[in-house]
Amino acid sequence: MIVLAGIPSEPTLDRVADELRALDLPVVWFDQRRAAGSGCTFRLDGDGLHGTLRDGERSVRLEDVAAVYWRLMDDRMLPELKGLPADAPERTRCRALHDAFTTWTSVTPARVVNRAAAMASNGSKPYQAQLIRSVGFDVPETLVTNDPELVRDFVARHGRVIYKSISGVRSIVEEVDDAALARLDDIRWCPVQFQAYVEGVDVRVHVVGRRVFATRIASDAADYRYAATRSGVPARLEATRLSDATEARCVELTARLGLRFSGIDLRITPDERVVCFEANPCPAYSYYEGHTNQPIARAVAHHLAGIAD
Amino acid sequence: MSRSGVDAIWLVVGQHNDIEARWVADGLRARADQPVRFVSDATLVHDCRWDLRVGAGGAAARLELGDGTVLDPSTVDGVVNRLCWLGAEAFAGASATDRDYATGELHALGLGWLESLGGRVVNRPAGTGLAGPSRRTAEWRSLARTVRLPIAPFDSDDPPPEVLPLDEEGGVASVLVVDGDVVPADGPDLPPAVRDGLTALRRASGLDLLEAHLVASADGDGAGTGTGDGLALRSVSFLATMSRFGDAGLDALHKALITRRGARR
Repeated sequence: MIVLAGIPSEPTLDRVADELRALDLPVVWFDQRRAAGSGCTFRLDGDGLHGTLRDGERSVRLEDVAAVYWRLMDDRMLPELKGLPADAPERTRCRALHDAFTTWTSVTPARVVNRAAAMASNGSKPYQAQLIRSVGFDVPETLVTNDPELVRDFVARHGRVIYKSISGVRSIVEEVDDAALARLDDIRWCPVQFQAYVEGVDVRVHVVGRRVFATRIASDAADYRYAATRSGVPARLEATRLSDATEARCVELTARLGLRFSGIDLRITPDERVVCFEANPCPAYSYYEGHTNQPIARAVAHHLAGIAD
Repeated sequence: MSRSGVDAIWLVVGQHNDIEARWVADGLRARADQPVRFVSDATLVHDCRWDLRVGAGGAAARLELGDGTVLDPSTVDGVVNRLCWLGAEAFAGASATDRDYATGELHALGLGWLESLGGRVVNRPAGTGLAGPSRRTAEWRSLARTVRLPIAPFDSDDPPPEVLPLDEEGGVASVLVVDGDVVPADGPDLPPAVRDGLTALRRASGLDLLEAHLVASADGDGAGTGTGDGLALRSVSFLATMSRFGDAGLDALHKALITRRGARR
């Protein structure tokens, strides 16, 4: 039995569900949109872990679950709870349900893509950068500071410099320009992360177990995700191959972070240096798969099914 | 003496209202031959010049506190890490959205800084917590099973055990584990198998220091191992109530810091 959890219509989950259907494997949903009719209870004792996952009228034994792929949205934002006060019983029950499910994914011996603890390194870019370095990747020269003078020195030394969030909160990468320098004193209130601009070509690498799918992205934007809205010219994506050494390093980084599935952001410099920006533990791969036809969802389904990588 | 020619510092890092952290700092001061400094979250957020760098040369941070104290790899050679969060709640002029964003940023910065201190830190940070891997009760008991430490049964419908005082659930022992040292608070002596199990749990947890709470077990064999001698793990905290363990706990922590002198990664 394989559990899929989240919003079923979300493309990342939907594509994996299709692939599991093609494999004729039994699937049960933890459907957030049907939280009111769902349940998750379990007991852990000297005999092991036992429990039940209920989706409407259907119940499965948790000990029969071999794998889980979960992408939960913040349960406070579910449309079904819209307009309810924070202390509404429906919200309390929904929170408890999600808490129980999340806790179960942390203790089940099933294959979980990915466990919550392993996903947490992405909450701090300078923290994760140190883990990335430990497997041998280059990382961008980075300064996190609340001292404007240090930033001016950093810019003088590196020339082109970008800034972005320190945390996992998604932020648009921006270059430090005259306007940014003019308001630099604002950083005294809260430190900001600056990085030396790295010239080169972006490559997004999806690692599923030991399988590697690399996508080359051509864009002139500092942040290719926003190329179309910023410059009117969308990024162009195509499948590519990395060197064996870089592929192996991507697999090693994924394992080092305790992940089964990752989306790793690389930039290949003109002198062939491979710089790693971050590893996303919950990659929205469908955007890349849709542009390149790489069988990423199939690889995830195979991984969940325990089919050799 | 550090390479910079000044006495290397031991830091105790924690929330500004962490009375136990201040107690630990006082206790270490009485034992140490070097300065011991308590640094609070409030100091780090409101009275600190930050310079954290990561790059080809590795990671290093230089923090300059308001009183001129410099914390960098040459001046810090031991850290007792009890920091739970760095928050922007005191940024009164900011909107709630901006405060939430800033809190995330400060937390991420703290994680990067503590990781850059490497092996000097007792309870190194993890993605799930500034002061080391944060686990729920079920996760602790699951981890305990893997090292064959007996556990109290966990039901997902039960309230969190932290809300129950020890004596209301048959609590019999609090135990401090620091590296290889096992220090029981007032209570019965621990059977060797439980001591070994707690040390194994500490190793498996990724923490250097933890406080475990044991309860009397109905069958004395919560993990089916036959080694519990009537005790089973109920809960664990990475934020030990150190004063509960008195001088023995401080001695163990002092020893742990000494072994970390000169540590890097």
